Amino acid sequence: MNPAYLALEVKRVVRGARFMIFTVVFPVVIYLIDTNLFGGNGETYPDGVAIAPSLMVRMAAFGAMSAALFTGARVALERSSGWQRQLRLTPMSGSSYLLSKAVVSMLVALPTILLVTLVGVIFEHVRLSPGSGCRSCSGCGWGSSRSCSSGW
Amino acid sequence: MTTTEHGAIRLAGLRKRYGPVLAVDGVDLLVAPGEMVALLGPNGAGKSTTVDMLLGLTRPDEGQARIFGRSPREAVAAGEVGAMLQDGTLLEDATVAETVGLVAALHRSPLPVAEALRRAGVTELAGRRCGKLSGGQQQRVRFAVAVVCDPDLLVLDEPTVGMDVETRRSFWRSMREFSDSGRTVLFATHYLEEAEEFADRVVLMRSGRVAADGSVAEVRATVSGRTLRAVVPGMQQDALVALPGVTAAELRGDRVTMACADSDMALRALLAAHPAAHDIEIAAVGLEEAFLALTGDSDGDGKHRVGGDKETVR
Repeated sequence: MNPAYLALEVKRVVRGARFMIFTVVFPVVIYLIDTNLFGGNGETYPDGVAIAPSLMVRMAAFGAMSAALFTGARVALERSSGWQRQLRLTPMSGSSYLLSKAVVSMLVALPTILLVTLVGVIFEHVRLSPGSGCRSCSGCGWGSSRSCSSGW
Repeated sequence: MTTTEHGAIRLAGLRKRYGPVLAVDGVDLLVAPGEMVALLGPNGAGKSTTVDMLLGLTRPDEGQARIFGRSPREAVAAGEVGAMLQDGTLLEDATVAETVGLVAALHRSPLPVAEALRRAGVTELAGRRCGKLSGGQQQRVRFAVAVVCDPDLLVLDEPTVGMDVETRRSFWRSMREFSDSGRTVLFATHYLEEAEEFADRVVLMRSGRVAADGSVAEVRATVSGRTLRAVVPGMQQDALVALPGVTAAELRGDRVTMACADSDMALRALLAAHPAAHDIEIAAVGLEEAFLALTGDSDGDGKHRVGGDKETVR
């Protein structure tokens, strides 16, 4: 896998307006609306879980999955369009092709996860311990590469 | 040099079957470095399958393909082969420069992207999205993708489909530039005049086999005889074929076209029997007639012409 190739792949995914709307704007907006409707002032679910932090992790996961599906669907598209055949005429192996798609999906999921978390922390005053913060972000990121494979 | 011993391309006994169809039935081919070879044949002759096996995109049932003495995969990994595939598309959402850059990034010692664009004559399209290009422009971008790895062997499957005359001409100019530097080109095509004009050597395929192989002059010579054309008022098809020295004939209105094994004898007999015949032309067979003769009468399926291919054979 090489950085120049990854950079171009990331650029292709991120550039689309649809990608921006569904994976970046949508989760942030929905998060703000939902927390303000249901989760203001540290309200909790009946079982005692605080709404604002839990919604934050959910929307981050939503964005990450949608980013991953955007990337994963491309594999199918590139297969049907014949681009994969062209790539088979390069030194890149089939497995590194798939691996780079998984890496790309994690990379493009990252901004969404960070943005939703940031909005949660700044506007909704969500406080997570550093440990659970890391776990939630890396969980979303890792999960996104799994969802990407569902596009294969 | 090892490349001269092995040849640029060596195909030995290649066979490929798709279900009941034997797409490629024992193709042997040796191409020396520096040759420009045209692979000709009607649709379904096995050209694309042969190209796919040569490039390692399809595994042959029998036989093997070698490029510069290596397996196709090794040659591809070493960046020795560039190819324009028949159904290879471009990335619609990427610009021309990005697409070529993407492929360049994957190769070990690529050309600079700008140089590849220049060779393909698409420098001015660099910033355009591939999805917004015309068919001919896309073909040229695909050519840039094929040459960006700076290959020693270039394989082109129907490279000029969708190009207009001017584009086609400039395409072949860049191809000449490429082959003049001593590199090998194999191209599959429908267009006989392209083979006639640009190839050092013509390999004609029919029903998965090599039907003829040689220089344009040699292939033309495998079909002996000449073509006789004339206007003969009141002519009958039966009477035409009955003339001595005529192997095949076609009658359209008063115009007759006869393939002759012995055109002198046919002409004497024609004039004796039909003094009114006029506008007589006798010509040596061109590559087109050779193509039709060698690919036309197929074995067993009752077709005597290339049929659907006729329009593309101009």
